[in-house]
Amino acid sequence: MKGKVICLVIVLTLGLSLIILPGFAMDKKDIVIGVIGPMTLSDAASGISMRDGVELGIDEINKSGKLAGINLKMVVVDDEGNPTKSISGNRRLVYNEKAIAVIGSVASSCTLANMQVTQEAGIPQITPVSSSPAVTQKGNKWIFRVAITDATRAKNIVEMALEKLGKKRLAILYISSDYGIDGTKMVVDISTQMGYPPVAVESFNEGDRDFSSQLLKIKEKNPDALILWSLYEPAALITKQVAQMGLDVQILGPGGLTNPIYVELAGEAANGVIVFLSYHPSSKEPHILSFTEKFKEKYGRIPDHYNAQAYDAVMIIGAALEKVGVDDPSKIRDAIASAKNFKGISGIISFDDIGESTREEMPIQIRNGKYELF
Amino acid sequence: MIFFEQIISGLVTGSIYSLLGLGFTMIYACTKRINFAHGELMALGGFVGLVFIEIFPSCLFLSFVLGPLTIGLIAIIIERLFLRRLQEAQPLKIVIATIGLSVVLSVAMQIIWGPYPKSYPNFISEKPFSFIGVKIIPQNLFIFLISISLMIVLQCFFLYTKKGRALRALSQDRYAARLMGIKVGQNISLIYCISGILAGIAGMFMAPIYFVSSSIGTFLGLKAFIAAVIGGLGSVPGTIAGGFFLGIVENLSSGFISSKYKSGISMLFLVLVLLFSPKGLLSIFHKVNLLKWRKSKK
Amino acid sequence: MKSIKHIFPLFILILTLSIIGFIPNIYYLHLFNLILIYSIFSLGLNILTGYTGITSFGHAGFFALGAYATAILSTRYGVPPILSIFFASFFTGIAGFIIGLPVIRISGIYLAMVTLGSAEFIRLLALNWDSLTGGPVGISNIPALSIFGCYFKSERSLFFFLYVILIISTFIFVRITNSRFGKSLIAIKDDEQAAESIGIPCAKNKLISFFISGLYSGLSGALYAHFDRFIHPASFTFSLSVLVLCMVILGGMGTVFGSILGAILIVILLEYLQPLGDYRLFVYGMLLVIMISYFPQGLIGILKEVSGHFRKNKFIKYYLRKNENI
Repeated sequence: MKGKVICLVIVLTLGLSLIILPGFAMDKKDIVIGVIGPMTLSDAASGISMRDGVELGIDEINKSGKLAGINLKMVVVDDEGNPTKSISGNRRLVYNEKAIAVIGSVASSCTLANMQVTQEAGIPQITPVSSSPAVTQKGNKWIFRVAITDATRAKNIVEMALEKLGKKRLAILYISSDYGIDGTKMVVDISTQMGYPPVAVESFNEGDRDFSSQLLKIKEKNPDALILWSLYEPAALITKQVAQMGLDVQILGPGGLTNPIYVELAGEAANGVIVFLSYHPSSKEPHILSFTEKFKEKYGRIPDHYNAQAYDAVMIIGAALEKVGVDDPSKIRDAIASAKNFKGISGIISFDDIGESTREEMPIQIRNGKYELF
Repeated sequence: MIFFEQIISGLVTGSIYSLLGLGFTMIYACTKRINFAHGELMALGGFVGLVFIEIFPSCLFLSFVLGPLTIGLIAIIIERLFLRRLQEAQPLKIVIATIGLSVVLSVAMQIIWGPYPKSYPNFISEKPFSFIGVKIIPQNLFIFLISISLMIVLQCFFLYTKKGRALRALSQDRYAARLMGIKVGQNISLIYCISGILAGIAGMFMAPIYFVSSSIGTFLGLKAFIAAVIGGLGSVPGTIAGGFFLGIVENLSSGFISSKYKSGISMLFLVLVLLFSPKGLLSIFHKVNLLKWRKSKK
Repeated sequence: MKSIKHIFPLFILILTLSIIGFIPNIYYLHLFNLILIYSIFSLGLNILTGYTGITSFGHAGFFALGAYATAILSTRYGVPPILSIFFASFFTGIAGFIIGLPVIRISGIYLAMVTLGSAEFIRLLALNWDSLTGGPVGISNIPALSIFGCYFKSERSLFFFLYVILIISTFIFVRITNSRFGKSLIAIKDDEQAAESIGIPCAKNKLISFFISGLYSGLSGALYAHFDRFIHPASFTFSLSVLVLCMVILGGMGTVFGSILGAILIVILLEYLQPLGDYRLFVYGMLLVIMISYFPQGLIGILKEVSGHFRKNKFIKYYLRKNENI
C-alpha cells in the first residue's frame, strides 16, 4: 500500500507541476490588444477580415511612433463562432494575455456572451462586426460598436426597395440564427409600417444547402424584390438558385452579401444585387485612398468593409492610448467614449452614450462582379 | 401544381443525397462500422477534383477519373494506418477515430485551400429547360442518372462477380470467410478504396451545386448518414431509396409545414425510422433477400 | 466499509488537488472550473456508455436541458440557483429516462443514432422556441450561485464550491457503481443475454442508468449555466457530445477516475494547443485518432501499464517486500 502512495505522489507532483506552473505565468512586456473572433469554421472569413484590419492598424501605430516607447502587440483568439469558447477566449485575453483592450467578436451571440467578461474586468471592448442592436442595450458601458447595426441596415434596405426602386411585393428569405431572425423582424416591422408588409417570409437553417422548396413557395407569391438576410455562402447558393429558377426579382441584403466571396461564388447571378457599405474602395478621399493602397500592398487584395471597420476600431484605441497612456483601462474607456467626429475609413465616427456609432452607408450595386456605387 | 414541383425538386435533391450515401453504406455493409470521416472525404474529393481540373483544363474526363482515384488511395492509407487496429474493437472506438479523422481532414483542407468556399466550373450547362412545365437543370438530371447507374453497377458487382461475392461473404461472417481463403485484410482495404472512390465522385458532382469548402464535410456526412439509415444501412438500393425519400420529405415538410423546421423534421423522421423500423424503410417493402444482398445480423 | 488502506491515498489526493484553488492566474482557475464541470458531465456519460455499454452521441442534449431548465427557472421565476439546479438535474434525469425508453426496442448503433437525433432536436427546439428559451438570443444574466446569501462570484470561490460538489458526486458515483446495481450494469454491457438469464432485469436497469446519466449530465449543465451566466443554443452542438465522449473514452471507459482524467486531459490539451493557432484542431484530431488506435484503454490504461511496469521494477519490488505487512 505504501507503493501505491509513492506512485501516487510521484504522478501527482509531475502532473500538478505541468498543470499549475503556467498558472504562475509572468506579465507580458508588450502592450496587448486582443482580437477575438471566428478564425476557423463557418464564418472564418469575417474573423480573418477583422484580424487583418487590426493587424494593419497596429503596424501603422507602431511604425508612426506616436505611442512613445510602447510596442503594441496583437493577440488573436479563435472562438469558432461558439459563445462558450468566446467567453473562455475573452477571459484568456483579459487575464492571461493582460490585454488592455479587446476587438471582437463577429457573431452577435458571441459578443453578447463575451462582453460580460470585459465588463467584469473593466477592459474596453469594441466590436467592428456584430450587428445586433442588443449588444449596446445591455447597459454595458465597456462595449462600443464601430459596425452598422441591423436596425439601420434594415431601414436602408426597405427604404431603397419601397421608395427608390418602387417595389411593392417584398419577399424575405432569412437564416434561422439570431442574425437572421432579428434582422427579419426589423425588416417586417419597417415595411409594414410603411404600408407594404412582405408577401412571403421563408427561412432556412445554418448549413442548409438546398433552398428549392423555400424558393418555390416564394415564387408562388409573385414578389418583385427578395431580401436575403443571410451569411455569404448560403446567400451565394440562393442567388444562383434564384437565377436557375428563373425568378425575376431585385435582390437586396445586409452584411452577408457584402463579402467579395459572395460575388465570386454566385457568379453572374449576383449582378444587379444591391447592398449597403460603410466603406467603398473607389472612394477618392485621401485618408481612405491611402488605407486602400496600404492594405493592397500588405495583403495583395482589395480591402472589404470589415477590414475598414476593424482598422478604425484600432485607430480609435490608438488615439485613446495617445491621449491617456496605457496604465488605466477606465481612462482608456473614457477616452474612447469621448471620441467625436473621428475620421474613420468607414465614416465619421462618434460614440453616443450607449456606445453606438450610427452613421450613413452608401448604396452599392454589384455590376460585372464588382461592388459599384449605385 | 406546387405539390408536384416540390416532389420533383425533392427527387433532385434526393439524388444527390443518394450519391452521398453510397460510399458510406458500403463501409457499414462490409465492416459494420460507421465512418464519420466520409463527409470530409467527399469534400476532399471536391477539392482534389478542382486541383486536377486546374491542371488539365481541357480534359474534364481525366479529372473525373484521377480525382476519385486519389481519394480512394487516401482512404486506403487511412484504413491501413489507423483503422486496421480497431477492426476487432468496439464499434464506438472506430466512430471516435473517424470523428478525429474528420477533424484532421477538415482542418487540413482549411490549411491547404483556405477557409473560403470555392465555386466549381460547370461541366454541364446550368441553363434550365422545361419538362412538363417544371424547370429542370441538366446538371441535376446528370447527377440523377449517375446515381442510378452507379447503383446498378454496384449491385451487379456484388451479385455477380467473384470479388463481389467475396466481399459479401466477408460482411456476413468474417471468420468463415477467412476459412474459405478470402484474405480479410486486403479485402477490407479494397472496400475502403471503393468507398473512397465513391466519395470522390460524389464530391465532384455535388461541388458545382453546393460549392466546396472545408466545412461542408459535416453537412454532407450527415445527409449521407440519414439517407443510408432511413433506407437501410448496408443496403445499396436502400440507400438510394433513402436518399430520394429524404429529399422528398424535406421538401414537402418545408413546403407545407414550415421551412424553419426542415432540419428538425428530418431529424424527427430519422428517430422515428430508427424506432419503428431500424433496418430501414426498404426492409418493409423487400422481405425477400433477393434485392438486399447483405443478410442483416444484429 | 472501506478500510483505512484505501481511504488514505484518496485523502492525500483530494487535499493536494485543492491547492489548485490557490493559483493566482484567474484564467487558469476558470479552466479548472470548466474541468470540474466537465468531470461531472463525463461521469454522467460514463455510467451509460462505460458501464452499461450504451453509446450515446447526444449527451449535449442533456447538458443543454440542465442548463436551460435552471436558466429559465432562475431568471424568469426567480428560483434561487441552488434549488433550480436541483430541479434542473432531476428534470434532466427524467428526460434521460424518457429518451431511454426506446432502449427496450433497439440497441447498438441505432440507439446511438436516436440519442444523436434527440440531442439535435433539443438544440433546434432551444433555437426556435423563442418564447421559452429566448431562441437565438440565448439567456443572459443568469444569477450566480449562492448559498444562504453568500455569493460565489469569483472564480476562486466557485472553484472550491465546484470541487466539493465534484467530490460528493464522485463519492455517490462510486457507491452506485460498486453496488449490486452497478455491477449488474457491467454485466449487461458484457453480455446482455447472460445477464438476463441470471435474473438481472435488463430493461429496467438500463432505464435507471439513463436516469442517473441524465441526472449527472443535467447537474453539470445547470452548474455551467450559473458559471458562464449566459447560454446559447450554439454551445450545445454535436461537437460537445463528441467532446464529452472523448473525455470518457480517452480517460478510460468504465472507471471512475477515467472520467475525471479525461476531462482534465481534453481541456488542458485544447489549452496547450492554443499557441498553434489554426493548426491546433489538426493536432487535436491527430492525437485523438492515435490515442484511440494505439491506446484504446485510455489514460487510465496507460497509467495502469506504467504503474505495472513500475511495480515490476526490481528495486520497488525489494522495497515492497521489505514492508509487506503494512
